[in-house]
Amino acid sequence: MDLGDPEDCNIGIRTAKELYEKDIPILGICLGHQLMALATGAKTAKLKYGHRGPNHPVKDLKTDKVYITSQNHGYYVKEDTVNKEVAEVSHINLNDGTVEGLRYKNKKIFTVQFHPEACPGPEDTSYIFDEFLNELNLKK
Amino acid sequence: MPRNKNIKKVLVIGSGPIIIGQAAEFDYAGTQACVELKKEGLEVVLVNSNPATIMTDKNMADKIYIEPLTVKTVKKIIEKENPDSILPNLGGQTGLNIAMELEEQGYLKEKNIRLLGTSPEGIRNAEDRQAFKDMMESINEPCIASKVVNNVEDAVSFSREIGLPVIVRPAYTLGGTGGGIAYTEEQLREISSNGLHLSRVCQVLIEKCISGWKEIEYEVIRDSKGNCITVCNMENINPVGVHTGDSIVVAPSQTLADREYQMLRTSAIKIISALKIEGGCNVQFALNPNSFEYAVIEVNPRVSRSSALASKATGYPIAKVATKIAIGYTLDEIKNAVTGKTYACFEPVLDYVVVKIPKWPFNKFLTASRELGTQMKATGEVMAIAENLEAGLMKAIRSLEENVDSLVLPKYAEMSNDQMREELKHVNNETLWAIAENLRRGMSIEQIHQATTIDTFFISKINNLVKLEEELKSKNLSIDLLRRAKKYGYPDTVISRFSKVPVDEIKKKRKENNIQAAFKMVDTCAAEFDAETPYYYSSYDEGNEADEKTDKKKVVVLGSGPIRIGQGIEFDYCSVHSVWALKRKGYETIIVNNNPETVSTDFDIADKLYFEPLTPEDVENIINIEKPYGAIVQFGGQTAIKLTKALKDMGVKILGTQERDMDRAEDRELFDEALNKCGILRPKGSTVYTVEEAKKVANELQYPVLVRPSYVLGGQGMAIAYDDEEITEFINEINKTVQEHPILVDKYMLGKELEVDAICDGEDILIPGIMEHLERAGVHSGDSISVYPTQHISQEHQDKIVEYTTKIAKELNVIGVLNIQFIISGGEVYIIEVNPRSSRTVPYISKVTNLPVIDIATRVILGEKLKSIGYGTGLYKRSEYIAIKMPVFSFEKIKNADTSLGPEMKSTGEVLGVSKNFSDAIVKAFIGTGITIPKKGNVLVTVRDKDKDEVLPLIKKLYNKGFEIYATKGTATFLKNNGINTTVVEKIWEGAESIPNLLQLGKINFIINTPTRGKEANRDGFKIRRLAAESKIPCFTSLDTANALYDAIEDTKTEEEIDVVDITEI
Repeated sequence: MDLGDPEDCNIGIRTAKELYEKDIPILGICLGHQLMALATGAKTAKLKYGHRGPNHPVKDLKTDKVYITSQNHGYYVKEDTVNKEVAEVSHINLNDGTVEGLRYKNKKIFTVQFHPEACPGPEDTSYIFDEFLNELNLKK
Repeated sequence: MPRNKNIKKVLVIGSGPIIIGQAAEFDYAGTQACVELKKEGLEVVLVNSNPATIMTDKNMADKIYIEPLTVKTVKKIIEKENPDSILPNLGGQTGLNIAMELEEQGYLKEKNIRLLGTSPEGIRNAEDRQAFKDMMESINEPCIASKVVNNVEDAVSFSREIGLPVIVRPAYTLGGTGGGIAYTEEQLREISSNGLHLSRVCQVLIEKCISGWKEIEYEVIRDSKGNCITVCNMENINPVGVHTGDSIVVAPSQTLADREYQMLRTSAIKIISALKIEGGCNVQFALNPNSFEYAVIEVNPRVSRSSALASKATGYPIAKVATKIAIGYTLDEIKNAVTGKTYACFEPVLDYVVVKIPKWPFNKFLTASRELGTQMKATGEVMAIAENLEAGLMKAIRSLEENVDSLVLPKYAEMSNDQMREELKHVNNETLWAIAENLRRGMSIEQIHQATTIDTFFISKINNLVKLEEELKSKNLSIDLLRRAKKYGYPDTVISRFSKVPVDEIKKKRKENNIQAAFKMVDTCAAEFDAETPYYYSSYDEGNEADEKTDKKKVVVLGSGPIRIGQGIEFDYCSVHSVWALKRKGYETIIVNNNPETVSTDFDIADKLYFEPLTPEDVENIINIEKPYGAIVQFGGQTAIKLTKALKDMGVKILGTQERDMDRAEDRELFDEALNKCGILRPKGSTVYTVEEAKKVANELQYPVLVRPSYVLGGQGMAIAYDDEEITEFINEINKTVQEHPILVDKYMLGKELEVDAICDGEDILIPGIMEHLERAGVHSGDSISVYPTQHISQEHQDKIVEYTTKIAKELNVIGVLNIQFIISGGEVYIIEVNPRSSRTVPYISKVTNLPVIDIATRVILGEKLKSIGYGTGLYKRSEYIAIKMPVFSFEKIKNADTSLGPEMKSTGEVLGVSKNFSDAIVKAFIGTGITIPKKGNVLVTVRDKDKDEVLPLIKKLYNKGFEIYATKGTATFLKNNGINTTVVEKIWEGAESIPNLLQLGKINFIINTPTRGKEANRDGFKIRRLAAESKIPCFTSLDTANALYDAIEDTKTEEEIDVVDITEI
């Protein structure tokens, strides 16, 4: 067993799968992002250099804009294992091109590898929460 | 987005002469910009009046104009060159202002020229006080209660509304020129009247004073897609109230929690987005230390001194990235030059701390006020990178070259506790040391915080250093204590002084216990990715990251440290060119320097950059790791020369002129011997240590005599003494700092001064040209107008100068460059001094003669012969162009500095006027310095008795030209007796015809004032000169300068009519 490997989180993956099937709106962050990907059939792998710290550039593919994010993870979701029918990549890491966010199809599920709640870290991606709330029509 | 292909030819506007508030940082930014533009295949047209810069070098741009930075001249260049774009945001405030004026006139639109980077509207919103305030209000970003006014009465009435104290900030000025804090209504009237006068748009901002709040800056970059990143933030140790250029600054911020850090970062990004800036931008905040309240102080929509500092502090090349953004690229397309793999769209991480301390010119201006406020006074700065803040402070302190290497200031020994406490009340250049001394005397951290409002975190860091001093004094020097002292950045010399253990023993102990400097890399990413750019700082941590393996021979080039009066950007030019020459010859190059503003400390220049203090121990640490083939010291000014002996003692081969021969040029007796051997005359003189000896020598030589310390640059401490009283004053002043070498006392000779730079290979010599000073001997060469080629020197004298240069260069075994000052007096040629090193005239003479002086000199140093290099030997052919170098001063910034010219250098920078005829060149030079050449108007004359006869012809000419002559009583009587209708003015200090009133009303176009003797500040002449400086009215204290102005007045052409010269065609 490799320390920190999300594939070892059997309970977490099972829970994510149950929630996915129940159509509960979900915003996944970091391990949550990895677990949801694993729950829907994708694979994870170890990064050559872990992403640590508050200075990682992430590109939102919808707007083509880059944001600085806080990150703390050693594994990533392998893009070629993501089933295109299930989810599409919404964010990528600018430095190594790895998946930083997934948008699940026909579900109210967003997941991101970085920390939009960032504490410590930049507040650039707090818009993720707005988008999530908008999606649920909960935004005041 | 890829590069905009419609951009083909770009005009880059530089920042002009070095002045306080606008220094070498813009040469660094401008050079990066030119390099990037050329790399993209664009045609670059450059204009900058400053010939000492690297950016005005032939390989930097396709067309180079060393011309006055005025709207009129820039228009002429545009008409000649037809650029399709202007890059305005890399040439400081000067470049930005010119571009904006062209835009506002509709000229750019008419010519179909686009302004690259930020839109004019964005610039206006950032620069115009009211527009900025409105914009901040519209995006809910807090500003400080303030109001823009354009007259003094409005300023006063607003201050009554918000309460005193208030800060006055003039719009569109550099480094806060003319600003200040007013505590009383009277002060407010004075400062705002002055500020209104200095502002280009006659606006000042009156603002609520929030001194005591933390001052934090963010460097932000934004591209056309709206991507934003912050390169780093910086915290001023001095709270709000001291200009950031005069503050000790640390990066990253040290006292902010994440919440505060992110709050301000978010605000900075919001602001840059609202202003739609495309490029670099600096945002300054004030943060209430007791809450989360903050206010935006200022935004600079361009690269700045702070962005240069941030670039060097992080390894992130802001100017380069800003240039790429300006031509269309976005941050996610630009590579991070340090890692070579990641992108510019990221935020650097610092696993070290950076400390910047300003370098002030107060040792040059003994009468000047050392108090710091909103008007910047520093000429330069040093930066230190370290593993902890304590070590950062210690490194920065010794980088300043102020003869201080610790937190102990000897002069405090004589001061009482009460006096010491009083010292804390006024922030000045010595506040850091005053805090340490008060801690030593038992004041608590909290008490010092109360007195200074400096954050207790910083005071406790200073306290750590003080506590360590005490430990070193009181305890045995254990291995643990030694290790801690080294970790805190204490040099062996200081440890020795406190512990009384000899330096050699400390060194030995360190070696035995492996307490050695380890070098760490500045890699922008805290080792997250592999870095490709070796940029190092020393620490006493584990693990050395500096790699010593190479197949090439390594050469160390020592830089010249902080920019100061007397040792400026010219020496950086020389260091950089030497590195380039070495690289071309296949050597691996290593630069050591500590100045964050310069090109030499750009990690792209040398193969390796060590950002370190230039002291023997710090350099030795590098030598131990690198084991170089040799070192070159002759290009880094006096800073590098001073290290020659230490390098030799370390066993490093000195490349070029040897230490022994350098000494022969400085040591009085040896120098006399050398001159005698060559049959060269020099003014009579002798060496002394004490006042009594000096008086004796002076009386033997007969007054006036020239007094100067050995081994100085810029005429530090140099003066002409006319009697016993004066020589006593001067010698005492020099002896305030311990002199390792004797003081020189020479007969002062009146005559014509000339100067040459030359290259010698031991056999032959190459002289690019002979330069003639317009001011007579007695005015420092750096403050003189210098003309190349000579205009008034006979062939016989020129031949003599070539002969003497050849003889003395060979006699002194010079290998490389040397600079010689001559004087012609009574038909004889004398040598005044020989400097076996590069000089301040090398860059300009290289440019106007088209001789790559430093490249040739470096090749000679490496063993090539002049004969084989291909530029010939002897005196190089005379250029058909005349180039006039004119000094630029920053007197208005330094309150109570005496502006009269003498043997001690006072100018901060220089401009060049180039033309085929003398009068056009002199007109350009004057315009370049910012002096408007009046064709008619009013002249105020007040000269001492012995100058009256000499001034008469000039005044007659001015009078006949239609100038109205105003004069003080004595001078007026003299002029009237000689048939000149003169208006008498009251020297002192009231009434319609009083001098202050005339000056303040702008009635006087220029002043001719020759100073009486002495350095006291209470004389009338001194007051007139200060008033002139503060009102920006030219005041000529040398009749030779005034005569030169007359030459310019007589030139019938207007600025528009004088041709601009592309120096690449010379």
